[in-house]
Amino acid sequence: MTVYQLYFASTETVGQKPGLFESLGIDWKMLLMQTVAFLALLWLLNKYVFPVLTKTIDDREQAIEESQRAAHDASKHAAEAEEKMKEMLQEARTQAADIVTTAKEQAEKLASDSDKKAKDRAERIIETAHEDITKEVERARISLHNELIDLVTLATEKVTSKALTKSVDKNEITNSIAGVSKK
Amino acid sequence: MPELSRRKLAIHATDRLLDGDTSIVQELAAYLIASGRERESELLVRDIEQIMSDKGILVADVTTAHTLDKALEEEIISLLKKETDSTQVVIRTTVDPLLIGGMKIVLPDQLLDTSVRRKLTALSALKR
Repeated sequence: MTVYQLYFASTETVGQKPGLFESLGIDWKMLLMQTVAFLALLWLLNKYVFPVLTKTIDDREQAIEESQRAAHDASKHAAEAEEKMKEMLQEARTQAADIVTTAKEQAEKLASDSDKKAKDRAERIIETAHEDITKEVERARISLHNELIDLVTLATEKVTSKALTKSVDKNEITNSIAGVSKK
Repeated sequence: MPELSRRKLAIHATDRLLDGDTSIVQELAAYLIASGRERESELLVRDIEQIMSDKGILVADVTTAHTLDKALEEEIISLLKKETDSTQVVIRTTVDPLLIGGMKIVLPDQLLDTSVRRKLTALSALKR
């Protein structure tokens, strides 16, 4: 037997007139007891259960909000990072292209310079060779000229030594004297 | 010993030689040796010849490849008298076969060289 059954059994009276509550079928004592019990329960819940539950729910909500915010931030950072990476990639591609272009230009210039240097060197060598040949020819000419003079001098000396006898020499001297006199 | 200039010595020597005093030659030689001026002897002789030339007496050195005969010597002397306006010409002849031909006349202040050797030397000088 429950408390309520026991209570109903005790409150039942025989021979009493039904009141307003009885006519409606409402037991006001029971109602009051239930109300008190409900209020007591409510108080107990409010005192000990609801704060905990509310706190738990609040905490969870807060955690969820924080998670959402973190997720949003992470998403934002990821987007920014992606954007930055794209920019860096683009910049890297541009720089790489510049480097390749510069390297090509430098390689072409180097090749061109080398060609020019080789040509200049070859021309200088040819010019120097021409000068050397010209100098050599001139030296040979001078040597030949001097040798000729030596030969002519020697031959003249030998010939005139034999040809210039005393009488011939005398005529030579006489002619010299006449030549000086005329001047 | 006081040092006399070459010019003064030459003038003094010339005057005495023109007077016929040939002892000046030895005196000059002794002086040059005593004063340690032997190296100036040739220059002194040239100075004396120059002074004599100024006075109308020419001394010439004539070099030829062959010996000169008298006629030729006379011709040379006539030439020198005419060319230098000298009253008297004395020639000192030398034979140098290296001249080959022609003559070389050395005067105190002039040189006349018509020798073959000079012409050959001039030809050699054309070398570069």
